[in-house]
Amino acid sequence: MPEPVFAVIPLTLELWSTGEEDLSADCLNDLHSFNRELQKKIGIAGFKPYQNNTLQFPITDDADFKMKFAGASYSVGSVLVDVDFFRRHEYRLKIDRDIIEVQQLTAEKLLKIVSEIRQIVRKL
Amino acid sequence: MPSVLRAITYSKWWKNPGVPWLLPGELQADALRDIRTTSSALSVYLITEKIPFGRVIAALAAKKDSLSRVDYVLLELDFLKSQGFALCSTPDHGKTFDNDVNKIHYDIVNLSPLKLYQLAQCISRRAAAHRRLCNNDEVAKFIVASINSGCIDENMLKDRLVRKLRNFR
Repeated sequence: MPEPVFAVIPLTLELWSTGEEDLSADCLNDLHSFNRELQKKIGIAGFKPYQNNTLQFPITDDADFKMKFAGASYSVGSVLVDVDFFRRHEYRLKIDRDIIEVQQLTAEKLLKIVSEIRQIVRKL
Repeated sequence: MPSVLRAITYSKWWKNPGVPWLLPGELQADALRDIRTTSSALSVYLITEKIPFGRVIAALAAKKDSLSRVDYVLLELDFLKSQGFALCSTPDHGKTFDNDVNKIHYDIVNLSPLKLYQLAQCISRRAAAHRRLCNNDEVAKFIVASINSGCIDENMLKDRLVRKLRNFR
């Protein structure tokens, strides 16, 4: 069985660490895309709000990977979402070296990602 | 019947050449970004006879760097309440250059991701039935009217916008 590969999703953890009924719509604003052009070292400056119905994340095969954010607040962290999640739910994917691009995102598919992240954060 | 006005960007809501993959009934993810919340609340403005919608359009457009059309949707208050949405008057949150328009600022509050999606569906259906926009000329005339009546201070506007408005003075 191939080793799992994970999308590294940066988050403001306090937005996601609430009871299910209290999850704020603000968490949708917290979904950011990795921007290689802005990236000089691993840090928050390398991300921008998602646009064009696309999300981009770095990928890793390290199940213990934790992203470092230079100069960011204590509440900024990251979660790992198994790339298989996106495949199982038939997201349109493009994988290029160490980046996964989730394309043609509908609002419905975005909410599914939110739900998946929420479940992962609850287990942290 | 009182309604609230929300400016939107139609290209983020419709199936258009930029999103050929969008199926009937689906919403783009960008639509949720177009109505992004702050502290679980979405900013809207109440339209009544007291403050005509042209003044609200002018107030929203006057904040921009240049002259551009305004796409918007109107949602009846009764309809929003029947769909389970709660609104609060939040004049302190109005950030336009027209103080009277700021006083009619409301927030649709307590929005979770699912509730925002449900609101997006309401907006999409309403916008599909009654597509509303003010083109550049209409927006310019509304802004000039608000300036001439003293509702907006022209000195607050960006230079590029002021230059564009000269053709309408």
